[in-house]
Amino acid sequence: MGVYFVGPSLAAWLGIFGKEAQEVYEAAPDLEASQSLTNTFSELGIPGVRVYVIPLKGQATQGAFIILDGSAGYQGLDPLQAKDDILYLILKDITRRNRTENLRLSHVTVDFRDELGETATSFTMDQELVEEYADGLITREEFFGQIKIDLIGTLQYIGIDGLLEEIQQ
Amino acid sequence: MNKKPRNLLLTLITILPIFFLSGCGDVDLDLAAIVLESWAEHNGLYKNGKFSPYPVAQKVAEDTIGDITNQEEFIQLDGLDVIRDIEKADNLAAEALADWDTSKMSSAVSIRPEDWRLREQEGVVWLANANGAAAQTSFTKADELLRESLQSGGNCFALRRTQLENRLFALSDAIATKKLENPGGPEIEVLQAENRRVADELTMMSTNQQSDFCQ
Repeated sequence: MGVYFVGPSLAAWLGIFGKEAQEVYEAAPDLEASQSLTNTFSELGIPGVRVYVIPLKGQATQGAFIILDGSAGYQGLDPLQAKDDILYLILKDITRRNRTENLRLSHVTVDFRDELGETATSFTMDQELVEEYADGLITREEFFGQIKIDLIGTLQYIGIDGLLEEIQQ
Repeated sequence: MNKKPRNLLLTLITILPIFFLSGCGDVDLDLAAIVLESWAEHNGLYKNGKFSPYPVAQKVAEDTIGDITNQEEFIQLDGLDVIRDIEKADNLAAEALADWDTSKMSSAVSIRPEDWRLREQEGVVWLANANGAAAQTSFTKADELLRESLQSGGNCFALRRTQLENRLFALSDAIATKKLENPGGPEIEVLQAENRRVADELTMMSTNQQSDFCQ
């Protein structure tokens, strides 16, 4: 049991498992790219959204982090819009900006925060996948099947923290 | 699997669909619900309106390993913690600029030492405290960090202009405030000197459509 908990920390300390996020995203956000993608949401009339585009250390690409923040006025999507369509429109616009403005995106990561600013759930997807969906090359189901959801964080938010501990025993 | 985890998984099966279908709290998380439900269904975790406990447990175990071994997608998700750091540092920097508080500014920089924007703000805070030497150190560091970030790509001319425009805005704001707070104070002169230097460089950039910084 001790090895289970101590092992990963030791390996991380020794650098066995590669860079941590703190190091990968240590540089300043790309202000122009961040503003451009924030505009994707403001132009669609979705308030309470901020986007940070951050260069990846040692790579020629950048990561986009979309914060849908209930504590900053995000109230979900416009109920008059078809839900599927609005997500598609967002991803299509991100794809367009990535191509025309050379944003060099490698991934899009989304953080849903509740009215207290706490993360309710989050997920991430490669930009390549986003563009395949936006270009109509894959179906909605294929798209959702390949995104990566923070399942553990989501479960913790729901309030069954003991689940992981119990399963790990 | 012993009895206790199984009970917890039953709880999970009960709670998750409620979360997916109704959203959380007062905020309508409809997009989150759509994404989560579709993802769970596609990955075999959710069938006929119910969660399958064993695929969920398996996914949790896989994710635990993926997270500790720094797999790429988990680094991306952990990047959201970095965003929290950026927000914290930016808030501290804003407070430091409002109070000209060098200690608070140092705290902001210590959270994100490689972020050139914070070094820029640090320089302005030092100037507002009439410490030109410390300010120059901060601006030089900001330049170094910006150059480093450009090694991986990006438009040098545009980024340099953004950097200087931000500095000019912060300096103009500081000068206006200081003139009200402490008319004739020594810090006003050092702020104005840097303000003139930055304005001159921006003018040169506009005129020549190039920057010495990018050579």
